[in-house]
Amino acid sequence: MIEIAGLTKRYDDFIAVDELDLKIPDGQFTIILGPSGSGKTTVLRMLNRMVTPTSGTVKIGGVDVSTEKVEDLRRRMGYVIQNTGLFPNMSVLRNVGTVPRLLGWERKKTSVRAEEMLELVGLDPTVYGAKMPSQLSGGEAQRVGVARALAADPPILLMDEPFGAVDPITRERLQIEMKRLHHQLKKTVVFVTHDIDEAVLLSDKIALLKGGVLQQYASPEVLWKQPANQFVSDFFGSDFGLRIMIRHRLGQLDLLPIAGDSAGLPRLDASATLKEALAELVDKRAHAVVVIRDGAEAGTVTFETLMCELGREV
Amino acid sequence: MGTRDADTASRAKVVAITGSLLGLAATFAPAFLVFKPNRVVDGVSTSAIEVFGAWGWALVAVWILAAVSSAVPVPRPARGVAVGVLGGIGSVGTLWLAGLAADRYLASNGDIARMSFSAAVWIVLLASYVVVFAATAWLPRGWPRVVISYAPLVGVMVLLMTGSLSSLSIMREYAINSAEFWGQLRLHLLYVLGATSLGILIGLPAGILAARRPRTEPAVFGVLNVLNVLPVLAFVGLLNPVLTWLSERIPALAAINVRGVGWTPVLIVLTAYAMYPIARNSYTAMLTLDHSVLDAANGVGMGRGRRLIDLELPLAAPVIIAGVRIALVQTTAGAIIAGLVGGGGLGSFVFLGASQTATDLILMGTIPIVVLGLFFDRFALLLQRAFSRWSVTA
Repeated sequence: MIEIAGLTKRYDDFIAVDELDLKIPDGQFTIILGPSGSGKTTVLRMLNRMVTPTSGTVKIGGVDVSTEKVEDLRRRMGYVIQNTGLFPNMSVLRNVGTVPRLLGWERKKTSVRAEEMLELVGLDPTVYGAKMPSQLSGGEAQRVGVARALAADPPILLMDEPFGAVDPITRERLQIEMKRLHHQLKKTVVFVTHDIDEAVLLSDKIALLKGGVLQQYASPEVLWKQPANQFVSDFFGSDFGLRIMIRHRLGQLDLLPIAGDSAGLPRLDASATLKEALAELVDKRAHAVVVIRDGAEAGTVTFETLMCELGREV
Repeated sequence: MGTRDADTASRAKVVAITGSLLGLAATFAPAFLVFKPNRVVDGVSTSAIEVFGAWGWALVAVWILAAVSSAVPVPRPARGVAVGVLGGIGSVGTLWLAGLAADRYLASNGDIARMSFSAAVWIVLLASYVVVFAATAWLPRGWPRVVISYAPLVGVMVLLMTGSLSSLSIMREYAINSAEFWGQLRLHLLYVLGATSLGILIGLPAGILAARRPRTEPAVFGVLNVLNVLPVLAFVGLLNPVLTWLSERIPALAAINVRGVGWTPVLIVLTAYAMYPIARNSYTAMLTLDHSVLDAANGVGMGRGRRLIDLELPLAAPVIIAGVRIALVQTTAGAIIAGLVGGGGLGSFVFLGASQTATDLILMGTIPIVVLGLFFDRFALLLQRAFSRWSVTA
């Protein structure tokens, strides 16, 4: 549990973060979202004391972080930044092994761990281990950055717009990979972004900031249906519902039995998102989509079923 | 890429032809070799053609051929080899013929006779350097370039080692002073390496300090700037009373020969000059490090010392070494001053030669200084490259 209470950062007359209260349960994927200058990064950097708060406290597991030795604190929190921050004079493997090395792990254990981490983020250690950071593409470098952050198995992962500098296709792939990693490793992730789609796709909960002040802290569904103020609904816009459809999968829905001839209908796997189903309905101008589960037809969904799922109480 | 290559090649043509014509002109120049019955009297200047006879015309042919091969459209590598080899022959051949002429002159006029180079010989060597350098532009990178550019040097080494040049005035001076020569060379090297090492020891931390604590920057570079612009003789002059005073009062200093003249002021002055480029480059290197890399280092909990050793120094190394390179070359030349203030070194030949108007004695001091300077320059460049290997791109 990360407990943020009354956290404030002032630079002379400018208030970057104002009296922020936030409770982040273990294992939650938390997105800090907001327009630029809203204090997102400052919040993140106060968690690992890269920025010293003017007032307020951050407690992790009940312990005030300001009482700890700063290096020890940071080694227990993975840290990923936009420009990767890979060490250009070290091989990929050595980069990934940085924190274990700082923690004084044995050489052998460190390199085994680094190789495992590369595999975890989808890079073959025999191909990439000996490469230098300058030989990597943007997406590969960012994967290595994530591997480095995870190497010492920290319970908390801090990510500052990690996918902001890669091309859209790579970014989407990295986002999906990140979601998989979160499910697999159950880390507490605090992730800063200004990209609404990224926030909607990855988050358990979004903390929306404006001018250093927290506007609302909730799941995307709640933000959509029960926005706390005008800024929240304006920020997400009228297509927020459409964006949220990527968070839900056909498999979760109550399917309708297949009635009559389904041969002419579009077919989608149960793992497809509601957004894909909607796109299919529009594209084929069909009234229903047949859902395939384990290779067999499991039932159909219609436009009404999709709307019913989105309309469910949150 | 292709056009840039073509550009370089066509510019190389102009340079090579200019060099060849320069060599040709120098071969015809009246002041090529000087013959003196002994070291002090005025000599007789002669042209290469007069002294070398038919061989002189052969040299003329070499330069004409070099110019022609540069101009005619021969495939590039072949042209590079031809022009490079001809350019090399131009200088090595000239030196060899001069050595033979000196042998003959000394045989008929006795050992105290001197045959030395006049301006035209140095122009021939310059021309040869220009032509060979231009020719390398037509050669593929790697060993062909290395072979063609270093072959003339090897040729000169062979001439030196086989004694073909030993009757030349400069080599006669060397023969007379050889024992002293090596001692002074060693001393010269000690000045250079000592001053540069001290320069690193002081300049590197000073540069890092100025970068880390911006408030110290004016003080650090204020001092270094003043030291750097002090004229060398004024500097030694200012140190003289201080050092004299110190050595008179502290016996331990007097025991290691610390005096107002001699090695102490020389080492101090050279160190002061060496510090400047090293500190300046260290400062710039530390300030221009990639901010996100340092941010990440802090973010993963790397301590200050670890960050300096593992990250900042290795990343700054190429630029810092570039500063060391400047310091090395600069102190190699600067150490001549030792000859003037009783500190020895190769400068002692230079100043002795100057006082006796014995040009060859001056050269005996100067040529090794030039060679050392070039050597240090190359060596530091290789070191610089070795330390930037991490920046390889796919």
